[in-house]
Amino acid sequence: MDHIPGALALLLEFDILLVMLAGTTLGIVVGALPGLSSAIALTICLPFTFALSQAAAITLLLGAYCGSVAGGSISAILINTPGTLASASTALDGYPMAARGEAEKALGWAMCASVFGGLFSTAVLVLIAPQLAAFALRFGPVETTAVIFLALTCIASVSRGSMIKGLLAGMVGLFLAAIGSDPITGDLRFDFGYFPLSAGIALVPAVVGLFALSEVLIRAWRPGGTEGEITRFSGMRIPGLAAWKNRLRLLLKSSVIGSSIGILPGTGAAVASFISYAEAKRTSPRRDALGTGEPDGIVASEAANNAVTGGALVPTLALGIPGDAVTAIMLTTLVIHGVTPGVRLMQDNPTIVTAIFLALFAINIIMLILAYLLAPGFSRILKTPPALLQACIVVLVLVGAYLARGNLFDVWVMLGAGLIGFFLRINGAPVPPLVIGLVLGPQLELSLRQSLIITDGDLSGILTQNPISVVFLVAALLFLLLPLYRHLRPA
Amino acid sequence: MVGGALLFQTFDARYAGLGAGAVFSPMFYPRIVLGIWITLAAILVVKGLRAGQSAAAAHRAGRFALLLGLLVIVIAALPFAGFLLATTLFVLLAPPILGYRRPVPWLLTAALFPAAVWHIFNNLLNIPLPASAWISGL
Repeated sequence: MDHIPGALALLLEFDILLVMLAGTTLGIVVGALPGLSSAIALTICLPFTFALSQAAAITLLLGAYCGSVAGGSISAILINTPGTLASASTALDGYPMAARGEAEKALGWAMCASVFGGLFSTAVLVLIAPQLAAFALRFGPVETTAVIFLALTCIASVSRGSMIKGLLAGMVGLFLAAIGSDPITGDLRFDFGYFPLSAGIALVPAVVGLFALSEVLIRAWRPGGTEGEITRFSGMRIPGLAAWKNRLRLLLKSSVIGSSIGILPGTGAAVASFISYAEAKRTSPRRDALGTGEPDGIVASEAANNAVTGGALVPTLALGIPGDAVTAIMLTTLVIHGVTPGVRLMQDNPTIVTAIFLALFAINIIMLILAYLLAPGFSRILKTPPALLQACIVVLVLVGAYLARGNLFDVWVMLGAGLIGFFLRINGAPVPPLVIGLVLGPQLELSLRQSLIITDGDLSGILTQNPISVVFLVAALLFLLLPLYRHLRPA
Repeated sequence: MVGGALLFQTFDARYAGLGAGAVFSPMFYPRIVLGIWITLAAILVVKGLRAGQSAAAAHRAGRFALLLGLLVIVIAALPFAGFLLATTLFVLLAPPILGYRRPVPWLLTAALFPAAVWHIFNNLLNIPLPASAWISGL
């Protein structure tokens, strides 16, 4: 509470308000364009953050994050093609509504549910993150090793594609993070006598290549799809209070589902929206109409997917452990701007943390206003030729990779990362575990080596000496064994 | 194979003397990671062999190779041609490779977008992008 005036003063600066609007607008637009994910929205914003202050950079990314998740519903409703995977279940009822001439209403339901979900999850973030961070202050190297191990196994086991491919991608990330100097002795490793490699692989070019460039390469590789027919509509119509009255319970339940799933590493908005939709299909009084253009389906999906935004930030801010690719990018940006997420964040940067909380509240409200104002232009946005868009994305990707450290070697790193991302994706392997491995690799190695020093080199000491680490390691083991159990279980 | 080659590299003579006095060598952690990497890759290979060959999805290798080649040329040209010329070349050539043929939006984008990005970073944000060695001021 003491830091609210300082945080408010920070957020009410003109440039912060401007980037909040710009980030949210860009997020909505990128989210609305089919196939462009939240991660791409953030990578597009990355080069601009280098010129911004700490608070402005974070606000820009938060705006892009929340905007892109909500924006995904626009194309799901208007052309039956979800802008992001998180809005796939929105199309199930959104498009039938649009097809019978109620696109304006469908957009209104989607945006209002998104805003409620976002606000609810921000409240969850405000309540839980400080408690979790306070608890995590007890963590030493042993517990940190165990919690990172848990995060990696959790992410790999729930990522799309096979768990083994996810784990392999995570190992590639962990190895890439080990290039450069040893965290304990400072000796150089895997530089192959090439000087630029001695500084290691920079995160920003790698992330930009893995997500944005690999997306462009994938689109060049795959045969072009047919573009959806855009439904005629005039804008957005917000549903009246009477219509909401019957759906408040559903709205609340979907927001709880989204926030809870968001906190779990590796799950993400798509999982949340599908689970929430399935729950609505099971319990809604109008469940028989779901799938035929029933607003309950839109509300369940959109409230849940936007509620993930605040939930996903809980482990990112409190533990310094990103739950998915988007929060990994955000964490990278925070580190570049001198803010290290993790157990000491709340104590060392209370004003910035409070500003993040307030910015999230503001962004979710601004999102509704912006969506209302931008709605008449959505049909034009959806007509943007993908080829031109991809060429423009590559230009921004080049800027982002170069500006990370101001050297051209990083641009080659970005190209290499783009190719790795491309090969992973065409082989059905998830990319997020690689990014998480890259982000958490240095911390994992440092904690593991420190733990071994504490236990006199006894690896079993890590497993047995500390109850908190035992809990994390048992949970990690369960995540690893669960797919095996499912595979072996008799049908 | 990549994992195996990297693991082999960790036993190279140049790494033998590293980490003198430390409890564990600097190669301790990479060997664990690479060991798991190779094990997982081996499991995938066995699974792949047991599953048999699946039909390859349709793809456009020519278009992909052209775009990748263009990217390599553009990145290699950045230190000499500078950001503006190199990216203008990319936006000029990439859309037709990707199958876009409408000249007015394509040429307008090629002329305006790289120039706008260059102007924003160089002049408005004061963050210099790679300059051309051939034409001063670009």
